[in-house]
Amino acid sequence: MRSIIFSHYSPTETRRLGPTLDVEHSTVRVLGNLQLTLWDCGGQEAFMHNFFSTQREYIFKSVEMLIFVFDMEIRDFSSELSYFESCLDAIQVQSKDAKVVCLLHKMDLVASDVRQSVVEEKTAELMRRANGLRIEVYSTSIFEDSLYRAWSHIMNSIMPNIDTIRDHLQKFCEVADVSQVVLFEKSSFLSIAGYHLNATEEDVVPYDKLSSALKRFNLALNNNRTTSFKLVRLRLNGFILIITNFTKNTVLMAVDNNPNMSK
Amino acid sequence: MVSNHVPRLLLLGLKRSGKTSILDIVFRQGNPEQTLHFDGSLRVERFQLESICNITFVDVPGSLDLTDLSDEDAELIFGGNVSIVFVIDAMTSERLKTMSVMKLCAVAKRAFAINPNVNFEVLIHKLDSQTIQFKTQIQRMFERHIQDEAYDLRLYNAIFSYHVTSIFNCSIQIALSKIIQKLVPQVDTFESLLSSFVEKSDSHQVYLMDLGSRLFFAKDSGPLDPDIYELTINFFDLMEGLVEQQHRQLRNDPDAAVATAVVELDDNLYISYAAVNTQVGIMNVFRNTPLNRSSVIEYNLRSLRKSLQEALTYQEQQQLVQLHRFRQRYPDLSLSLATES
Repeated sequence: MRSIIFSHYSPTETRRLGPTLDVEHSTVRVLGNLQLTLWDCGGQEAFMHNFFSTQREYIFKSVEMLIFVFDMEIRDFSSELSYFESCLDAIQVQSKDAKVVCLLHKMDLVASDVRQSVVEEKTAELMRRANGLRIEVYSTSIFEDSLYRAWSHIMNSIMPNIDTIRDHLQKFCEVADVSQVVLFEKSSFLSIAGYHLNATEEDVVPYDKLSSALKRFNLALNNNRTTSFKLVRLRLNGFILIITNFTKNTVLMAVDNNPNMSK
Repeated sequence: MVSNHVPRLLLLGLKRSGKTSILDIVFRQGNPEQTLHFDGSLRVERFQLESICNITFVDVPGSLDLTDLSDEDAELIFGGNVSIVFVIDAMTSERLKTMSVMKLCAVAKRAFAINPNVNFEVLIHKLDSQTIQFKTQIQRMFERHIQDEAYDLRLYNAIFSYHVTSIFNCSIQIALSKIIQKLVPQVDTFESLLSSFVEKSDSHQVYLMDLGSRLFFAKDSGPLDPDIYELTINFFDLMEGLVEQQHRQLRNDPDAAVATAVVELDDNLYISYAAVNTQVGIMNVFRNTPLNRSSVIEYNLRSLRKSLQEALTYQEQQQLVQLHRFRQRYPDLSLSLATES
């Protein structure tokens, strides 16, 4: 999953990946100075045991966010849950303010007609186990756009200056008189923030479709000798969409839906 | 009478040679990986390419034997403006390869006996990631095999065209584009228009693309670069993704008939898109040009668009005129014809 979002893997290519041994560290640079350090912890029992005993402090100290990935294919959900509980215990002691996110992963393997009920059931179970701790649960699959939705939420919630960015986007939106502005991170195409002129709080436009469309195009470009694109301009009758490189690490998309403005 | 029918494209081949997969990729933009799970087709299925020229694609299951049909049925199937596309799985066992070739020649004998003008296309399929040398070698092998077999059946004048294809890259779209171009009467006009555009505006390549299937009806007369063509397909996929999220459409929508788009890539390659009508669009690929030339390109693009539209409406008018004449000559027949069209 990490390889798709952060290192340009296509979903089918992930078959080549081996299991993670011990802890893999990776650093992602978002928005210039903000560095995100991802610790990809191996899932095998031996490692897990280590994490809770000898490396307990090393792993769980000063964590901003804990992401626990559940495999939906697995039969033995209760043992997963006990691991999850020990993780929660450790994190509460070592870093109190950490946010906890659970991903119900490999949803593509669950039959689509029971998906909804399975997700609800598991969410309720996790909430109960969390003992009043605030956790967020997302269902994801590397073959669907849901992965981008979950990760965009994750990025959003750990960014310290997200509100400032949102304010700036809003100002830009009003000044430039466009109906929608979305800011994407450049290498992963996760949406960082967006603003919609006439949108109410409830109907927030999901950007996951955009993320995956951009990502797919970029992947295709990578297979095809070029590295990336600089500018996309799309114009229909009464509709303009522009995507352009904004800063070193971000891409900005602006949409104008106003028919009077299209000259 | 038969020649008035919509052009048809029959997909034939042994079981599990990849016919349904091809149609899924082209018409439904399916995922190549997912086609592995397809069951064998049991029924004849039709796909309609609704564009500047309607073409019916017919998926004929491998279990159906087209050689022992009655004469009327065979006339109905092989007569008229028809192309036969025979799909051969090039990666299967020697026995099945031989069976493919035998069946191909049997069908060809029947088809050419009924309609000498039939286009016979052979897709040497499932060559996904082999080297070019290997692909050419396989193609030569099949060519010789089919030739020998055809001689044995005394098919001396039969012409077969060969295409090496795979659904994991754009080779299948290129092959099908070449095949449908034989069925579209105004291809030469388009091609000369596009060629003069490329020459005048110093562009790299330009395609007239069908928006539903991403096949191209025409291209400038320069050599085809599969990578570039694949880029234009990817670009259109991106546009469709972006537009879909905004609850708009790039096809079959009057708003989309004036759509334009441009993407600038890192290595100074530009792809620009301009819709001709709601079904076809121009994909123009060009290298970085000085600013003063961009207006020239834009102007040329606009006039190219206009000429293409004229060519398209001219054809429609001609059809109407012919229909009108026909009705005047046979007033009794006009009723049944009107309901048919």
